[in-house]
Amino acid sequence: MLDAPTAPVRGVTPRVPAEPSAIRGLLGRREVSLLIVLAGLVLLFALLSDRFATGGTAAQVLTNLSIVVIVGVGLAMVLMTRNIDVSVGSMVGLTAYFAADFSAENPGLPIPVVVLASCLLGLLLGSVNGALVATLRVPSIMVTLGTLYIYRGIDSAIAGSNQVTAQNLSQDYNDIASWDLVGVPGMFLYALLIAGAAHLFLRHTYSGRSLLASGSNPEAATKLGLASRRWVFVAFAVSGLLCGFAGMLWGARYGTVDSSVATGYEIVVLAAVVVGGVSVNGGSGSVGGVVVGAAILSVIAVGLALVNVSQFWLQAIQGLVIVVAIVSDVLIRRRLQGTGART
Amino acid sequence: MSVATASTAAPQRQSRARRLPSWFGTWELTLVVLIVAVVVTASVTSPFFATGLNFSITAAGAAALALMVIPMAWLMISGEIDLSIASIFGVSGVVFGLAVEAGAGTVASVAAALVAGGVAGLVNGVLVADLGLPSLVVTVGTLGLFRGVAYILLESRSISAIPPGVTRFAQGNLPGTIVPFSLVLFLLLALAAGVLLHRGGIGRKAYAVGSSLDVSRFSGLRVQRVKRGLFVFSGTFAALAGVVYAGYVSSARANNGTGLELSVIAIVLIGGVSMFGGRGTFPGVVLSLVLVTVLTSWMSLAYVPSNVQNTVVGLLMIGAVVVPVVVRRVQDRRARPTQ
Repeated sequence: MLDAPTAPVRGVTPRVPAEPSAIRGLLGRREVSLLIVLAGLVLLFALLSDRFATGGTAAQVLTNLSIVVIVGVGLAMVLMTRNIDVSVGSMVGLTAYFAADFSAENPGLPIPVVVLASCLLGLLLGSVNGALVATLRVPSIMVTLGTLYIYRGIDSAIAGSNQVTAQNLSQDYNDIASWDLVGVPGMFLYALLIAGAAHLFLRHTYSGRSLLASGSNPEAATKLGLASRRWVFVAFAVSGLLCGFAGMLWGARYGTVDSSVATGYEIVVLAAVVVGGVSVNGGSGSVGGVVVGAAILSVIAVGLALVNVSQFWLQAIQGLVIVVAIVSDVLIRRRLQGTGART
Repeated sequence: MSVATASTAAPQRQSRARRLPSWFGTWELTLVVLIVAVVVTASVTSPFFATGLNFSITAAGAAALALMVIPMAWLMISGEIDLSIASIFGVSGVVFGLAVEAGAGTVASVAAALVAGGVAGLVNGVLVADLGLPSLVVTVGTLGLFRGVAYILLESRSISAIPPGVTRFAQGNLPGTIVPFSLVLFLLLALAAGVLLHRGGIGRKAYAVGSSLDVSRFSGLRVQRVKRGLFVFSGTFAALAGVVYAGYVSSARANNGTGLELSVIAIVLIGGVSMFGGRGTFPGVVLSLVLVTVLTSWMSLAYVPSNVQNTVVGLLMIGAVVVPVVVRRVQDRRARPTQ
């Protein structure tokens, strides 16, 4: 029903191609080509360094990409509604400190309570973004630029120059991140679960497809009776919730938490999401793409370190990757739809 | 055709004496009131605030930021945004430092930095204007790319052998006064930019492109050239700011200016420029710059940590956007009591 709009809405040009097979074809091709790129990179680094093709490295890559995927799923949903959320780094940082401190101050607290508290905080932070964007129609870049500052400021105010270290945290808390199942790190399994749930939601529920539709063509979606603004709000709220979960995991994984956690993280996550094929114009992209995109960037980061290339190259590569991904996305899209240049 | 497209002045019924010019409306008045309020409160609560020394320190310290605000105002009025300016600021400072280290002399080094900034701006310009990519996300990418290049070039070193001419310019005042050299530079450039924006043909083009891309195109405006030019403008000024800053802190580092883009954008937005383009005035932006500068000066004197200062600026920015929306809604509701 939502794949092939039959009667064009007056005055609005639907940007979704009319044939559903064209969309599926594109997505199929994008993910396949991403997997090929990933395989190529793995091969490259395996050749360049003997230490790359080991179980330990694989575990490291998987753990690295897990938090990116968790945050990335939320960010992808926001992008799908044709908005952006640059405050994810600050949300992760704030919830990370909150969760770690909360647990350190109350050692007897059962871990599920800490997890819940962190997620609720994240949900609140994301909802503020969502409310400003959806209800007051403030452009999302402005809202989230502002909250990037504001949430980081709150984080600094709460944390001061404090640091919560692994010793302060209970063993249970640290254990959340350090288990594995037949060698596969627990963190990665969390990420897979979340990604899987998001995928099911977006592709196989009416609500999820409404979310995609409202980003693909907001005016048409509204005329079709889909509550576009509600999905925008939901996307931001979910983004915040997932940041809350990721923040809690951050402390468990990295041990030391202070007010500078996840500064600049939004670039890393945005790179993964954009590489993974989520369009910045809204309406398209897949969770699978986000996972593979995060994998590609994680392989690059870990591989560069093993090959002794200076870590200073990493940021440039991440930025370049964003630009290249957007350029190729737009060029492919244009060729498929045959429209002229539009800004 | 008058330039008063952005004007909120009433039609000819008002006498000429009472009509506000197109470049100074209610918003600008509000900013003036706020500035006066902050200055008065700060002078009362902090004895050091209203001194000549504080003025020159604050003005010199804000010079780099101020220089970047000039092109950003133009760019946002034309409907685009450049999140990478702080990274261009950083990489140009690095180029400047490296040129100095290589013995290239002051003028050549400054020129090299400006060229680097212009090239970076051109990259943005081509991506946005010619390839038609959304500037918001593209400049997030180039933000990482240019900053990354700065790190590749200089790694974690810092170059402190900044030519004395540059440091004296960035840190010093006009002989015998409290007016910093860099403030004079800023005022001259800002004056030129403001006059051109509100009275010049190129300024009209910027507004036109921001108000309606299609109408501009159909009117024969070379939109791509305008946008490209604005990004090069942005890159070059970011480079200039980067050089001035390196002189001010006597050090060129790859991480100079990290995060400054948020302050620049916040200032332009608080100045009344709309994200969607086509609206806002240059005096508004300058007033906003003054407001944010006196506010942060006051907070610094009160030992407020910089992260919290950023929070206040962030709140101000959101307020600057939310308040007009709310006001408009209230006005709409009052105008249509039957709804």
